[in-house]
Amino acid sequence: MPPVASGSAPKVFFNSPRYRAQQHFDGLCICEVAVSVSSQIGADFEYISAPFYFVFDHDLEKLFNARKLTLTWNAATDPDHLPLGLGRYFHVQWRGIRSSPILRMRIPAFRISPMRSSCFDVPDNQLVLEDDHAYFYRVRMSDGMDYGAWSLANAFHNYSNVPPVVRVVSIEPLFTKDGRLQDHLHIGRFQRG
Amino acid sequence: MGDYKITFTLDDSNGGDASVEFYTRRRRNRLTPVSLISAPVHIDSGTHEVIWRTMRQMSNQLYSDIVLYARATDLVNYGPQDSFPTTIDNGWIESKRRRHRIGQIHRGRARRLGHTKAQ
Repeated sequence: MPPVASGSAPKVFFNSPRYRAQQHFDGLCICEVAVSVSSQIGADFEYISAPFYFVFDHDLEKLFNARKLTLTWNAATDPDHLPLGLGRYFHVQWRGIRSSPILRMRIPAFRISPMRSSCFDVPDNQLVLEDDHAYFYRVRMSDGMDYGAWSLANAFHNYSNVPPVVRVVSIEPLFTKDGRLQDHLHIGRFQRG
Repeated sequence: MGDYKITFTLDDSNGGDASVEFYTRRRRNRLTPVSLISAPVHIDSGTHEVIWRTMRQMSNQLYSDIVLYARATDLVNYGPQDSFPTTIDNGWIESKRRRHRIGQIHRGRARRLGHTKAQ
């Protein structure tokens, strides 16, 4: 619990999500929460939280104990189909962030792999999928001379814990249409005497 | 009256301490938590049953467009959501109440006219 200065309640400010300029990973944001106990506008924040990461991904994919990764994407269009003869290839960039707050600062550098197809089996020597890490990736296309824009970041989380799975088998009324308990139902206090 | 038994299976590879949440949606309405007699919490893998008290959430009518959603969770994660389209028929409750009320009226009228049985 943060300390409270006498006579004034602490104020909490949320810094706007900001991109790190050198990373410029569209969709991936870093957010910090700063607390000021002085209650003065413009004063320094005495307490700043460790940054946490989030990504604008509506459907964060979940993997469980995954060890191999295949990335796929849609090819971009080249309006002028030029230059000729230089080939078309993609740049894929990804990074992983450990879920544990203690180790989350140990972030591996971005990795870029040029390739010619829209499907990429990430080799073991380039990425070892670890449990309880979130991974972000993005892709851009090159016509041999220049690059297109990066795609928005996609993300997935590799969990070590496999969640339980439920399946509804049936739903049936407890009572018949004349208000009597169904003959074959014997449940707790509804058990027929 | 209006109670429905939901039978479901749970598969939890980690074993124990799983819970199941039930939601229902009708047409384009919001997902609404289902009113259960006892919530299925801290349960193991296997087949389980819960009682849905539909009359707490619906009226005594026929609902043919109900979808029941179920989702299991442990201490860490949510599992995939399962959906189960079903029909909830509580229309007979109204007719039963109406018959009971008509019977009351007839018995009262007969009593006033002196047609009651000799005690």
